[in-house]
Amino acid sequence: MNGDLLIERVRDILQDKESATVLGEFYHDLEIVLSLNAAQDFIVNFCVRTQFHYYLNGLIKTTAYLTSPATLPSDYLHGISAISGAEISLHPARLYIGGLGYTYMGVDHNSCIILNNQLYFLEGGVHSGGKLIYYKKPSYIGATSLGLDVAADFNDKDFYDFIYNDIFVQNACVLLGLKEPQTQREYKKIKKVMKELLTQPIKDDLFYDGTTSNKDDADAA
Amino acid sequence: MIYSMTAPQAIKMMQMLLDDGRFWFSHQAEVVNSINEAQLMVLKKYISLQDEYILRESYRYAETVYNGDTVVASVSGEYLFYPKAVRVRTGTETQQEDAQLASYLSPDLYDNFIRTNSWYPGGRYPRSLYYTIKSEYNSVSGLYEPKLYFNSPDATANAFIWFICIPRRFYWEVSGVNVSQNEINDIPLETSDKIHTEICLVAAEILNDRDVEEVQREGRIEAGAYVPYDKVSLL
Repeated sequence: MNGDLLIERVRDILQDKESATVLGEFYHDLEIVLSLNAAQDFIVNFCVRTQFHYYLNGLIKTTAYLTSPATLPSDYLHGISAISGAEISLHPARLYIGGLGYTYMGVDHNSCIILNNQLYFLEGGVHSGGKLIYYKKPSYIGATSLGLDVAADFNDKDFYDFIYNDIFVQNACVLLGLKEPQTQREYKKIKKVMKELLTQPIKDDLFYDGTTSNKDDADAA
Repeated sequence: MIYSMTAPQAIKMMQMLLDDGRFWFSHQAEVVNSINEAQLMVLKKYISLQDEYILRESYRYAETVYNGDTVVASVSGEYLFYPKAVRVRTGTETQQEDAQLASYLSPDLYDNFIRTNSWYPGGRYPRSLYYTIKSEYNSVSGLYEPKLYFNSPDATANAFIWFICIPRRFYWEVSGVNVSQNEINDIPLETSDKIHTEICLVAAEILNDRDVEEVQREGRIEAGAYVPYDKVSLL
């Protein structure tokens, strides 16, 4: 993902621009890139765990037909569903992630089992083949100024613009604001902010669904 | 984190959280120990939650484990931390007809109630197969090693086991850098990259609890006591 404009936006928000009265910049481009990627990671993890699939539309991928046992694709993040069977007659398969799946390997139903980086497709308890539908890892947010524009995924855009501009950038700004704690009191505040970022990185306002149960409406009333 | 933290990055994050530039900062060995302690605490938490999204990268398998053998990952050599699934068979083919799935029993139950070696390939039904894991001291290596036991009299019976492994100890020291700017002897966090941030936050909390004056402590913990996890849990 090309992050040049995102870096500009972060600097705008943090007022970190060189001018006639302010010389130099406080944050290095690499710091901003790391923060943007950390923010992206927090939010993708949050959306996977809380089933906010709408935000992850751009990450959905399907493998080619694989013969069991296969190796997981290197960009695998999390499984969605699977189909298994012969290549000309694929049927929906139950997707198991982890040790539970291994206990079902001999059972007479279609299944797909993921154990570490191994992938098994079974049809009626016998090794077969299939396709896996999964979320891929988001592309790395790079910067031309750091020479990261040579990456293969530099021009891949995985999310809607508003997710990059409004959510990732805002979270990155919060992370960058954590630089240089001074006191124990500040440490506690930073820890609280980090905890909020991990558990609720997207503000409730963004999930406003048009009903009057929205918190802001209630407050306004 | 979907992009894994390197060892220097983990240390930098600890520094970001703890070092205020004026007071004493924990020395290297203490920081490394705290990160190790935090890594196991967080991993234990996700094992107890059965969170397979986090645990996937920590899965290892061991094949051809005979009764009483040590459970060591077949490819990478890590020890067992938490067992997940065991199948016992006589050959090496996992899907052979007489392979049997084993159920876990705690060592005390196993020793007291599973007296007969009841399972053998092709035996009469109902076939029941149980396994247990015991830690036993190895006087040669000087380590407690996890041993697998299951109730079969068949000397050829062996287990294929999937388990959560103990991650290698995190390590970092200032010993010069290589071409990719990583410390030479580094061992980075080896649990899933999705919990690296959380591990650093827990480790910072462990250190922070020692690093401050009494009045600044948030819920004082007795010196030398094990830090209860609910005091530092994040999610």
